Amino acid sequence: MAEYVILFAGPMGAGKTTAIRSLSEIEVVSTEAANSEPGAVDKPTTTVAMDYGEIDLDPDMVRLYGIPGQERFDFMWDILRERAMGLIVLVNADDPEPERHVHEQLTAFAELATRGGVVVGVTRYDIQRTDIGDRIVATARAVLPDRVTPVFAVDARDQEQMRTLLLSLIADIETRHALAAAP
Amino acid sequence: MTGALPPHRDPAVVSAAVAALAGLAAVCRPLRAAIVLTDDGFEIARIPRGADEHRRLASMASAMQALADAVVRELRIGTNQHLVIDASEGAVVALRVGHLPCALVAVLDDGFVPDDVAEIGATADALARRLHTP
Ligand SMILES: Nc1nc2c(ncn2[C@@H]2O[C@H](COP(=O)(O)OP(=O)(O)OP(=O)(O)O)[C@@H](O)[C@H]2O)c(=O)[nH]1
Ligand SMILES: [Mg+2]
Repeated sequence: MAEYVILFAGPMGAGKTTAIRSLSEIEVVSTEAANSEPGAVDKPTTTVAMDYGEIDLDPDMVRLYGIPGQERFDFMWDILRERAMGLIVLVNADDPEPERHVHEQLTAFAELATRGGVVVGVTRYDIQRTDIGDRIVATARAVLPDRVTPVFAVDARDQEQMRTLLLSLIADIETRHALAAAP
Repeated sequence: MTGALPPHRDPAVVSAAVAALAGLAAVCRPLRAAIVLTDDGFEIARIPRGADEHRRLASMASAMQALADAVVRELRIGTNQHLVIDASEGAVVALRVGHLPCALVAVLDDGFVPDDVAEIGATADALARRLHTP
């Protein structure tokens, strides 16, 4: 049995809290506060410290941590980054600058992405269908040229889709470990 | 609070918070710095003004407050009244401003006494009463 610690990163409104709520089998530890700037991202609350959930992917146990997307909480990114073994970057398709966010997040968490594994999920495709898939792939390749970063379209509200994304990340982490251990 | 503007951009809220902090500074000798903030970490008012060392205090206080609330919820021990970090050379006290989506955080020099924490609580209560619009 292995234990994985997975970090969800991405901008405000990408769906990190929603994804962890979709996946977790325990009651999620959440730190939501009223969103004072609904003009920037229109939703009632925002994460100010972290989300925490757990899922048992028999035989593996997975701990899920979500960061606050807003940069003024980046001290929490440092705290949570240290314990993580894999990274899921979420970005919402209806954001004005999804590539910039993916670039920033992969840069901020490049050490984790390289040490562990990484996947990118593009959310809210149903709200704004765009051709950003290829552009996100190119952005990821520019930040992490030495690895292939898978990019998926996902709905953070959908447990099955989020499970598939998570399983592909865990497969990526395991493959890297196996390759690193090979003689 | 009228609700038309976010608290940190509502002039009435900002001026009430500035006055509350000035009042606190007058009665709380060990007070080194204090901020009134929104629950999501935007600064509404602070003393001393412009001190760069406390740049991240509002967002850190917001995160601490939310984590403390999460612990209190998890343990089912009522509601979080205030949070104290007692460090070797000072202390941090954080508490909610009444039932408003705002908090007050104060940084104290070492040597503070319980009365100082009580003054901080009284300041938050008075500010809550002043901002409360039924
Ligand atoms: N229509 C649609 N809505 C989605 C999809 N994925 C997520 N959402 C919604 O988008 C919003 C995402 O909000 P959160 O989960 O709070 O976002 P977050 O990334 O945690 O944001 P911060 O904590 O503020 O950084 C929620 O209202 C979700 O229901 C999707 O694929 N389609
Ligand atoms: Mg969140």
